[in-house]
Amino acid sequence: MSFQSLHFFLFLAVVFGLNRLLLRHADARKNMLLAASYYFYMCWDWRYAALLLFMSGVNFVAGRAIEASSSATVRKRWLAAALLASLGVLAYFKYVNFFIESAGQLLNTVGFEANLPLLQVLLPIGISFFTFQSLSYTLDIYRGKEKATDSFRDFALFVAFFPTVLSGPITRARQFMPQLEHLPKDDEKRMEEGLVLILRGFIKKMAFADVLAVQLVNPAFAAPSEYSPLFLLVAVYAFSFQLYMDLSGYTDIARGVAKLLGFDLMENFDRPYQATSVSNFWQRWHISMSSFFRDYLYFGIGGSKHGNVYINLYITFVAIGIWHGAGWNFVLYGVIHGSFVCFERWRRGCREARGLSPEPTSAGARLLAIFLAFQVVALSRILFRAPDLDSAAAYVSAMLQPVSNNAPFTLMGLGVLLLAVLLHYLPKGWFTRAAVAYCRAPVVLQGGAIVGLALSLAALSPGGASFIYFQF
Amino acid sequence: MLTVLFRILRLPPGGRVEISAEGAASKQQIAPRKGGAARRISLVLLSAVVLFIALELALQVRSQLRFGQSVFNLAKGQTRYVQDPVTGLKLLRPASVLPGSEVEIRTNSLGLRSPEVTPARLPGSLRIAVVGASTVMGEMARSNEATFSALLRERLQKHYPDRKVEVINAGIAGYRLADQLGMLQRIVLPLKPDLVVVYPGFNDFADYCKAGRTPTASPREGLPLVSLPDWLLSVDAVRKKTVALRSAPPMPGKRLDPASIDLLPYRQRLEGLVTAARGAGVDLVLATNARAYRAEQPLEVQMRLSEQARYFNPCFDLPGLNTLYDRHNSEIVQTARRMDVPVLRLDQRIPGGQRYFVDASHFTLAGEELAADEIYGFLLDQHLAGS
Repeated sequence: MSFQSLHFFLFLAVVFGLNRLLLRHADARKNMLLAASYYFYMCWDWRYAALLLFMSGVNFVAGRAIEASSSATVRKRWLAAALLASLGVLAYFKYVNFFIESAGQLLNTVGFEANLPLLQVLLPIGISFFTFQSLSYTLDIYRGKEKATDSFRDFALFVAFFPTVLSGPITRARQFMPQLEHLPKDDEKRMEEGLVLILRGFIKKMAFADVLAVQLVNPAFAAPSEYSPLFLLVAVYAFSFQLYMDLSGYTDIARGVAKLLGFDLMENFDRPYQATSVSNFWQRWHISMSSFFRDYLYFGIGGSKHGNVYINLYITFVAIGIWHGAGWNFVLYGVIHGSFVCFERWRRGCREARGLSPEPTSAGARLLAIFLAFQVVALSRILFRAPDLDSAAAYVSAMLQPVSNNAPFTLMGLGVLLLAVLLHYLPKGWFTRAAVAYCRAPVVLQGGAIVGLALSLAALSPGGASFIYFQF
Repeated sequence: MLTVLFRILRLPPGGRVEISAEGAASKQQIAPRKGGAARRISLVLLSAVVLFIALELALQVRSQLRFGQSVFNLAKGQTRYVQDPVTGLKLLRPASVLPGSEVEIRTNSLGLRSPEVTPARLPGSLRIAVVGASTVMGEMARSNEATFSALLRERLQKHYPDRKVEVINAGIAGYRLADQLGMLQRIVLPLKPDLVVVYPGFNDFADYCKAGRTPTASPREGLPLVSLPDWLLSVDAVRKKTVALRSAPPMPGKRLDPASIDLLPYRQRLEGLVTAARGAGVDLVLATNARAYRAEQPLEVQMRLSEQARYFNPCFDLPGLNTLYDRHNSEIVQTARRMDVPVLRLDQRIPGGQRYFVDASHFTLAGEELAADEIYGFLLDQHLAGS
């Protein structure tokens, strides 16, 4: 069930209504939300609801066992079991064919003729998100940062909560579970924020992400050799904004829906293309995911305190790359970002050693830093968008060794890209003012704006495009 | 209307939002109000739903007034089209007047936009049937008399003042060749016409885009979903009117290659029509399909004229559509030659452009008249309209 479908709006209306009716019945409300979340997930594929349940069960049991035990060995064993089961499932569904393919290539390289058969595995939607979300709970209990819950129902709801189950934000148990303990009653501010977020999310997705995809990105990546370097470069920039509008649009809708139901989810983006360095970019981009890797992997392997910080950074960024997809292009994507983050860390150290500020302070230097960081992010995303390394290489080759002057820019494509860029660099306060103005307007105007927006989106959107991060 | 509704529901007209005085604009917040928190949200959503329904109702009323076709007909059981229990064909509601300010359709007892036809024929009479889809039916023709079938009858009647001339309009909107074969076998041939003219139309093309969708290796198995109903006009109207906004650069490898379309099924269906007519001892003429946009027109003209075709065939770009249409017309010509039946090149005889076409494929009155003239001339030249 896609967020853009009529079915979802009917579903949301029913859930919203029931949630209101059950405001004073916490248990019934949680039961209803759990049932609704499983129904939502089963609309994508009913068979994988069992997987969701399994992931919840494993981490719930492990969490309780870890908390109940005072033996470090027992606690470690339970943690290992939870990691093995959760990551094992993720590895099987997401990476098994990558491993088989890579093994086959390796065997061929060393002289064996290997034609290993690939498995027919259908990737369960949202598996990377709900696996990490449930694992964060077990890891936090192991580290003593979280108390194990007594209620399997509450934990299952945390894992399967329908606004986040498909594409995050990857919510931490310590953010979400307390909200279940003290279910919010009635908060108009939160609801209005929710409505505004939902509207904003749809605009981002349908008026920006989908249009950029159809007008610029998809044609360029379908046959890069048929387009001029300028068109290919603009398409790369367009893809950066498409990706941002797509995932942040999804996040806005998810956060908005959660707010309508009385829950707060974390912010996932902070103007990522205003970053002054690649390191800064990762503090602003997909924050729930990057902070997960920082907290549980980077800190877990020593961070900057133990071992070689540069190796730790490389490991973390390669893992981030692989999390996005099973392919060498994603590995290389992680390596490139890891390299820049390592370089920036070394450079900061050098500047500090010379008594300089670690980051540029003048306006000109900051602008240049923003420009350069964006170039790294955007160009490395060729690896992200291309289906494999060869395709990425073909794209780069077409940019550097042009064979065509074809640059079929459309007014719609360029206009939407320019607007996306402009909106990204406008002051945040302007958006807040616009949201306030919307909420101040008479009810009929607010409703009319929703209808007008829906019809405009129907006119602009090529239709039927699912969110990019569903594939992860 | 909303105010009245809110009064009936005893709902307040909506609160006001206050800006908290916390300094900077970025600190502005929507201040909480007293009273039911969900009420305002519910009102906003309710007003959106009411406005959407109002818009939809307005469009339905407009459609009813202009074309006599709307969801109200569905509610009253008075739809324009019915499924005929005897023939199993989709037909126009028989013996009805389907009024509209722009298009009025009068049907005979067979469910055709045609004068009444009796199975028995007068001696010496001339009976011709034109089989096809919406273009033959006259989707945009103001009255029955403005369809090219009726105009053809006028011309033939003038030419044969002493004979009773009947031209049966056997076109039904949405018909593919398979439906046209059903129409030919179950309704037209039992009426013993002297000649059948087949103008196939473009509806078979829509299947290519559906079939062209890439199936996943192992499809997902989700629970059933509710989707927008077919009769909803608002979204459809907006999308039809804004095809140009969504026009994108051609995407090699992603758009369907018209050269890759296997025309064998199309050919077999054409052959089926010829064989059925021949089996009944009836002469048949195959006509090629005329369209508004042509490769020789300036690009922007082609883009404008092809909007409807691109809406219904989203998997083809403009050059692809031109190739696709030309390949099908070529198939019609080849089939006709192979099976030794006359072929009328309406695609060559009716120029493109707005003078003759309302949209990509439906005729204006000038188009209907030109089509009638061309068929009339062809039938006389070929001595197909009797002697």
